[in-house]
Amino acid sequence: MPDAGFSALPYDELLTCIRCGFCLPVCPTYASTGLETASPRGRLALMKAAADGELAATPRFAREMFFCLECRACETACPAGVPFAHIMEATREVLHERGLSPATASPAGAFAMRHLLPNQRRLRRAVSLAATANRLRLPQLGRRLGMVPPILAEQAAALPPAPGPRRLLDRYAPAGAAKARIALFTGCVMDAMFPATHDATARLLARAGAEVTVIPGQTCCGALHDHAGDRAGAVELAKANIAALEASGADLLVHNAGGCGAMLKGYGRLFADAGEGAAWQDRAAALAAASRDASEALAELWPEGDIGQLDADVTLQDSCHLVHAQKVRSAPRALLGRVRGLRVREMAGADSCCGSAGIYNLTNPEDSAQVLDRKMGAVADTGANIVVTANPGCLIQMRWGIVRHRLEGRLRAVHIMDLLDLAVRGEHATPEAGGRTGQA
Amino acid sequence: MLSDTLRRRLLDALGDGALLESPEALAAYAVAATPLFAGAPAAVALPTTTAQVVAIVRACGEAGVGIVPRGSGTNLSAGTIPDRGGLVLCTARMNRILEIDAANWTAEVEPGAVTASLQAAAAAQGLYYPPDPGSQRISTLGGNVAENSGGMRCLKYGVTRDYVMGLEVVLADGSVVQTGGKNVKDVAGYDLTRLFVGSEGTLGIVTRILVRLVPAPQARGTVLACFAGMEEAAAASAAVIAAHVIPAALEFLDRATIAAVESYQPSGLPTDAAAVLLIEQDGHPAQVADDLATIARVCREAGASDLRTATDPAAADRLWAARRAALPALARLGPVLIMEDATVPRSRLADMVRAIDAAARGQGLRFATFGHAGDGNLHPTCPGDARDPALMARIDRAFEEIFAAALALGGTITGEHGVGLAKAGYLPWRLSPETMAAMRAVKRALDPGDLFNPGKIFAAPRPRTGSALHA
Repeated sequence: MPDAGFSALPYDELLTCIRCGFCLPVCPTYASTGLETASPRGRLALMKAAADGELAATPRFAREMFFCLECRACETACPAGVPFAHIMEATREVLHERGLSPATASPAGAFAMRHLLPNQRRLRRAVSLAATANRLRLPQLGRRLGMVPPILAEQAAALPPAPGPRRLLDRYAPAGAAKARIALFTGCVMDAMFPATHDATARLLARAGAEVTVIPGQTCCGALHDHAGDRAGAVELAKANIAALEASGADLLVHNAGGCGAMLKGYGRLFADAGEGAAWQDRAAALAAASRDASEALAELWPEGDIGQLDADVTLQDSCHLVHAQKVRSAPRALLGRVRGLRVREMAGADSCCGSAGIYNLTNPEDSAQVLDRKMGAVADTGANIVVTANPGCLIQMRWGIVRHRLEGRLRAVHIMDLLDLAVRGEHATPEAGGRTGQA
Repeated sequence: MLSDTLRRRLLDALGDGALLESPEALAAYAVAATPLFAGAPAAVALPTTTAQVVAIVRACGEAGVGIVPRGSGTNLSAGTIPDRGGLVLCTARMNRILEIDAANWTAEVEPGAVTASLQAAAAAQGLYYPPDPGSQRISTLGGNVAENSGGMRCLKYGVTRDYVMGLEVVLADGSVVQTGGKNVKDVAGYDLTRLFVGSEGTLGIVTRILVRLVPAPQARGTVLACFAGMEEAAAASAAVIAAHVIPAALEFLDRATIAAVESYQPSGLPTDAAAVLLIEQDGHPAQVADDLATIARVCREAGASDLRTATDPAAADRLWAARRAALPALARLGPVLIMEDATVPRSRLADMVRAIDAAARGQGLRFATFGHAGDGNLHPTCPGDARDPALMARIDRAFEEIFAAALALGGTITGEHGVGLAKAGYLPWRLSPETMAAMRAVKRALDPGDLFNPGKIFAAPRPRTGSALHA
């Protein structure tokens, strides 16, 4: 039975696929299955068949669509410029409306989307509850009692400990006259789980010469809603963020989560697709134009010279939505290259997804583990003892990989802003230790 | 739909998860890289062993269900389109590189092994697998063997055929034959290896491939030369060969391709140039330096307006950016991109480019042409839109004239893409009735039941539309 909802898919965009197959070798799910249906080209064929009325919105069709990580590596590889994620999100919106989106169809998922992610106080309480459960080893107990699947217990064990009180200033003053006025985007998961990373980001940007404010009224970016097909939910959150940025008077909106950044930079398109009026579309486009990843902003603002010093072997795991959606590839590498003493080892397939993919590791844990296992092999091949990421999902996933592959004590996962902060502070605290140049 | 008996037999042989029949799977395997061709199979099988392939062949043979072999589906001749239904046999899960033999300079792979993976595995031992079809990052060796794939390095290094030393093939009766081997010299019997190379999956299912490797070149360098006229560019490529330099690659882009590249990703090419040549040499560093100097001198004498030489990999890579951008630049011009591979002896290159322009103009179209000047293998391309049948008909007519022109110049209808469905109607234009009969006799002898890739290669001749050129 054809589904009329699919007639709303962007048909001109579906036709841009020339089926050359150049996306296949970069697709993590194609690599793990060898199935055309699990490749970008195959998924586009399925979506076109749905738009043509040849395939219906069945649970099986939904499974194929939500098997995709939406890492967007295919968009980088595509010679024809197919806007894959844009088409996929339109498809998922139809599936969401039919109750076929795994993230929004389950009561727990729907509750988290509606009441947890947009509410920092509740989300923080949930995170500390989870951390407490972890400390009491409840997931392990549950596993032994057969109440918790082993893979979930393993994931839970990898979660970071409770972050402690959130020490984030409202304003970080620049060193000297302000080169830029930056609003720091705090988001949801990042803020609840890794608030110290926000503090590090703000201090680095201020040190580089920016005035940084943590603006009130901001909320979750809506990316998880949009990926799950809940476009209306995403638009609602986006409006709050737009109003918050406008009220702040800042020049730039800086984020340190690749996934949030891709979403914020895509607000213009989101509002156009959602049929919002011209005024809202303009305001959304203005926020998108002001958005920068923290690595972009820092690479631009940091004065000549080193960014601190650190004696370590590191490898960078690109955030998919930073490298493939935002097309930011060189900035994080350039920043790492400026840390004195740091040995940066490029990983084979650094820009290939780790399997975190928003909440994919929760909706498809076994599939996610397959992707993760390949990734951990590539990390191990570099010989690095720190894997650097630029997104909270990747950070949690890398922690899972470390637990899963029993690498605790030999490998750490660190956000790039925390690493740079460590390099800068380390140098500052012990100028003699590594300060051969004699500069602070 | 498979019959219950056939499904049971296939499931017994393959196990769970390797036989697909869902509408989603059938839609995904109904298409491949050739635009405008589609057809859903009855099912898709993903074997992992030769024994499973044998079981599939026996079961399908007895049920009278045709088998369409498929690797990554990147061929440009519609060779993997199941237009008559049947079973798609996909080799994606038979993708192991079994051996790199550094003493004998050979590699043994399964048919689903990706070309670039073999190249990387060979490189890790200082060896080199030269054939480099445009889709090498995902194309499979099985597909390369089936299509006898070429690439940019053919002038110096030859095509896939020149590297295949032996094969394991499952025949229509389910028997398994081994052809060739690691011996450099071996004239024991018919050269069946070469019979299967380029047979487009119509004679048997290749399950193992033994290829020859060569030592990796120590150095490489590139010359980029721009020309005000196509004649000068063609003369320059002829002069390079006449100077007894055999370049590792000798590529050209025409004016329309240059314009498309510059508007997509500016690479500093002069847009008033009629043609750009990219000439690469590899080998011993001294030889490379010597040859690059000769190439540059010859191009200058032929009237090159802009000449750049790169000897370090990064600089050479920048020069090649324009060639790499050709496909993406052209692919963005319309929903589909029709790209053909008419080929002529290299001395007729300029004539062929002129014939392509004339054929396009005759239909009110603008073609862009790039390709392998060194071996006369051209890629005339035209953006199209399947929703505009009148436009597609004009494109079709233009290509018909192009193929006729290539044949008139002593050329061929396909240099490296293969016949498949896309060129089947043109094959009788290229081959005499006697030659066609000999090929059909081979097909009948090895596959009497028309089990393997039915409908490919052989078709009724396409009637000539009767243009001004070929009245």
